[in-house]
Amino acid sequence: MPDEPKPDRIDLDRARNLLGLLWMIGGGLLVVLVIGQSILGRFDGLAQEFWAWFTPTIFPTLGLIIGVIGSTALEDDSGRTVKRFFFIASVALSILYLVALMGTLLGEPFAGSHDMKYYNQSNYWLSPIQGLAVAAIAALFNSRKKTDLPEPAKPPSAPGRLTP
Amino acid sequence: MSRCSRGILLLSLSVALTTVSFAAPVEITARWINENGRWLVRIEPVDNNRVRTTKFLGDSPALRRRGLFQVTDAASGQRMNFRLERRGENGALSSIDLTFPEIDAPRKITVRVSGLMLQAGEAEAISYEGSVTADPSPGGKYRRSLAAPTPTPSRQLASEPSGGATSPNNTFAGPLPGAGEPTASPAGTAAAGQSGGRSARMPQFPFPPPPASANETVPRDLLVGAKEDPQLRDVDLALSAAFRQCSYGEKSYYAVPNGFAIASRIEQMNADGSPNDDRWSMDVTPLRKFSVEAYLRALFRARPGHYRVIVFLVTDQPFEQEGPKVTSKQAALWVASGFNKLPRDVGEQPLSEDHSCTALIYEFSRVGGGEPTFVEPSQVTGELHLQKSGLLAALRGQ
Repeated sequence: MPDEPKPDRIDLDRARNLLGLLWMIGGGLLVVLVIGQSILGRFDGLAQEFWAWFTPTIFPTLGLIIGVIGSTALEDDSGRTVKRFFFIASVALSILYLVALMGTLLGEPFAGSHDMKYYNQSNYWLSPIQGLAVAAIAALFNSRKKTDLPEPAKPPSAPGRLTP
Repeated sequence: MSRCSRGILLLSLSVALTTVSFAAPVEITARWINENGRWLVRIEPVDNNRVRTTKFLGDSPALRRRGLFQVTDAASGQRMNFRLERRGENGALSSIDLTFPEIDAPRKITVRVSGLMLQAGEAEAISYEGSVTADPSPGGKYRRSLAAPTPTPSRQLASEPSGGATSPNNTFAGPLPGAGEPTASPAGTAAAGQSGGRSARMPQFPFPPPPASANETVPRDLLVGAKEDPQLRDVDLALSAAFRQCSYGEKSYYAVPNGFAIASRIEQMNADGSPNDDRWSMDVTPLRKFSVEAYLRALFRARPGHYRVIVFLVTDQPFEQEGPKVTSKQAALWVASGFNKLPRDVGEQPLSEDHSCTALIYEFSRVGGGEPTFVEPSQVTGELHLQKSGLLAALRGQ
């Protein structure tokens, strides 16, 4: 039976799954919205530019999350933990980013500028939040610390000399 | 020098000589002549030792396609309107005459030609591409023809036969200057051209005008009422008052043959032709009044921007609309490129029974990014454009 993590830590697998779920739901909603807009002709004349703008906002992070979850699917990650504070911070930053992105898309009809001028302008506020969220997620998904396990013995710094 | 090197040298020389001998120099001249009191530029092939009795081929691309003949004022660099007349038989032309409706005195011009085919005897036709200058200065080549000069109007209608070997059917108006860009009229307005009045360098509106999205003839009684001996100025007063009443503000005057043109500022309109809330902005209007339906429509459907420029063209000349389509950038510049008011000498021209006022509506729309593109034809009739813009009501005095 695996050890229970300390109160200030959270199981890494669980943290990754929760974050992955959050990005799947949030990103999925955004993608559905944008596909619907594209099908109904909202981006007529600028579909290429719009998708070139939209794709980097979601898919690299989703790709990272899915890639890491997939690569560790066959591993036994029990006992690996991450600081709860950092996990909560990652979730908060992810929610902030996804909400900002959704708000950007939904708020476009009220915007003073229009079309790609508006979307390119939105990079001013989206890019910093995205940078923070992605940094937190990347750090979390690379966390490898195990709880209460003795550190493995270090190998000797120099090989012993063989004597006849 | 080795035998091999000498061989290569000889081969190179023979190739070069062959090239020179086949690349016979093709020259044309352009000179001002006065024929029956009318100044024109005559373009002729030059015979030389190698090429004799050269003719232009009547089916040259330059004679069939607009834009391959370009005439510019050498001093100002402005493109000039011209008419092209062929002289000679249809198959082989002895010369090509260029007449200029807007000028009545020769000036130094540069003629740029592409795709003008020349043929000497039975030899293979050669395409001429290059520039030739017609300089009327004493050092330049021009002459007055021996035919007795008689004072005639400088303007010649396309339908007027010019006599000689020139056929009216072979006449066409020169390309529009800069595809819809007005040019400074070199020696005064066309309107003033016949009266002796002069409005120095009044910008010329492309004539015939570029194709419009919609047009409508404004009834004469809305412009001058029952006034006796009306003048062009009266038309201007009526149009200016209507523009003012409809808050157009800026407008610009141009010369057209025996009249003038007023161009409005480019404005944003709704799809039905009514003025948009952001009338003077080129940006698409954001959602101002919230409703679920309007919001969803704005969220999921493209919001095109509709724009228009209205040009009132007052002239006694019948005209067709031809030439390249106007871009929104060109149309937007019309309001800034003309005169701020109608020159007195033009305004004092009588408004004859032949004069009419035609409203040309140039409409543009933008869906997505990029520049607004020309709409042809407009979904709204010319009359509805005038009605929705308020101009028609203003002209009616309502």
